[in-house]
Amino acid sequence: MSSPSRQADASPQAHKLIGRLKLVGAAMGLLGIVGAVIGALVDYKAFIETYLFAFVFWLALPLGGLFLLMVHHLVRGRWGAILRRPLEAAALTAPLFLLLFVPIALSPQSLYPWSIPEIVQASEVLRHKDLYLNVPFFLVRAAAFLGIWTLLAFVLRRWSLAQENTKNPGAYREYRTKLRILSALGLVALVLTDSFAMIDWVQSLEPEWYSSIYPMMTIVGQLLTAMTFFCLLVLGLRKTDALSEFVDADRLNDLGNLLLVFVVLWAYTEFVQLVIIWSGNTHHKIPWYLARSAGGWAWVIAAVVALQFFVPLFALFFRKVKRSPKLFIGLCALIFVMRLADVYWLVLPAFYDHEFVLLWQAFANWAAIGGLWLFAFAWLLGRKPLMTRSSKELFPEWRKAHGGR
Amino acid sequence: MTDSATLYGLMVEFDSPEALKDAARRVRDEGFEEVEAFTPMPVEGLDDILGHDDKWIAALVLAGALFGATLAFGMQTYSWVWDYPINIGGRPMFSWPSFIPITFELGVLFAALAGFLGMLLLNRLPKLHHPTFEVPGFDRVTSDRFFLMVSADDGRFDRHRTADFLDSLGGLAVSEVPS
Repeated sequence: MSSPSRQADASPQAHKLIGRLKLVGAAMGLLGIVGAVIGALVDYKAFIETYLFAFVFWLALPLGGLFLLMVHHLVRGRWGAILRRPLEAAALTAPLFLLLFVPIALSPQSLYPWSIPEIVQASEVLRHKDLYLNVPFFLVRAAAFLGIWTLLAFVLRRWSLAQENTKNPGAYREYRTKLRILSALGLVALVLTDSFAMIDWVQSLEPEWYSSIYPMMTIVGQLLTAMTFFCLLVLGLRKTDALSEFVDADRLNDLGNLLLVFVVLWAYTEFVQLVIIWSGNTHHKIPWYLARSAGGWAWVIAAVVALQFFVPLFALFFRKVKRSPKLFIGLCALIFVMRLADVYWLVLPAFYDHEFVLLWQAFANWAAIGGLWLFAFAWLLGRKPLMTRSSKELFPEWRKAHGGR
Repeated sequence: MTDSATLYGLMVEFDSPEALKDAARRVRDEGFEEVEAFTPMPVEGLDDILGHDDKWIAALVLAGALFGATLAFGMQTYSWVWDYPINIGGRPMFSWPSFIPITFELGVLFAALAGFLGMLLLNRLPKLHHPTFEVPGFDRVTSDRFFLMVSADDGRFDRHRTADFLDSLGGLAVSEVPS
């Protein structure tokens, strides 16, 4: 097969939409940053607490992207072929979060009780945990996690591009093998580092509390956020010159099925934690739920369970929903909004355990980080053709039409 | 159509799922409604072509799931709250989180049973004999042959004209299915 010309791959329609996404990101980011700065000046405590919420929410996209990308390299399949470039672009935004981590690194005392010596001295449990939960080690770990994610994303991208550019069939297959091996090891590394990151950054807000399934639960939550976002992206780009040949009702059906998997898995992990703590009924475990059900917080999680689990669960049982772009977009938008409520419920009751609060700084920080992320993502996505040769080869019709191997 | 009374239908045989799907499409375009396909494995998209959009199984499975879940939740609530309340570790009697696993399990069990029994019932199974067994070579339907049958019940069915039409589909053989 002769090399397809770069011009033919340029797909102006798709890149126009991606350019628009970049503008939306830039506008959202600028407005958000202004809001966040005002928020920080007005009330630093509220700013940094909601900043952590926004950080954790948007972290789902690089990490979920990296996770799904490596799963795709391992198992292949057409669902991932249409997503490979977006997943790579999302994973490549990991270094942005190294930068975004700075405000958290600068003031751990505003967030984490274990970083305040008086509190640690007063609690026997925290004195024992001090070996792990101390500021220097916390910062080293954060740098290591973000470094590992960045490294994984860069190497996967580098080999993916090298595979795309090579003319030698032997080297082409070799890159596929290398990508698979790295993905297998990388998935193990990602799940471990992501687990510890979630323990460090979110679970340790309430340092005397612990739950073994918590990291899994938060990782599945990240995957749900990411999957929803990538479904929306495909739905948005499906009619453009880049994807129209590859995205039909069957592909939307695949994405819908995967989304259903994460919806169910989220509910499973969330419920398992509840039922274990309920059965144990011990005083050092239940405060987490007491804080999250007092003064209106219970309504937040009730809404999340109804709209992020029951509604999508029954909707996604129907082929019609997965195959109709309008219904699918509506459902994804609903899940995406409910993920916001879910992460807010996960983080904020650590500081406001008596009464539900909706801080305006949360929106400002969400827009600031989200806008920056969206801008970086769209910029990275726009730099390469949306479909790779190895992705297209997963489509039998394309292979037939282009005489591929 | 007096002679069609002695026939169950007309059967045409193919050696690939694609040929079967093409033929099914043409049979449907011709206006036949009572069309049945027999294949050794599931053929994707065949249901849509044949117009089999029977929603009964889905409704039965949902009913089974709701019945099982309600039964399980109700049974646990009744026994814990009214019939035999035991205080364990100071939890409330209506301890719903611990009822969920059984509720889920029984919901799945009854959904599966409803689906399985409903499938048998709707297909009128088990059945010891079926007219299609009389078709020569029909036993290969379990290994490598694909059959399409137009039932004699169809309003447009005519023993000779339908046979000629099926013959024109390019199958391996057209056979009569005696009733």
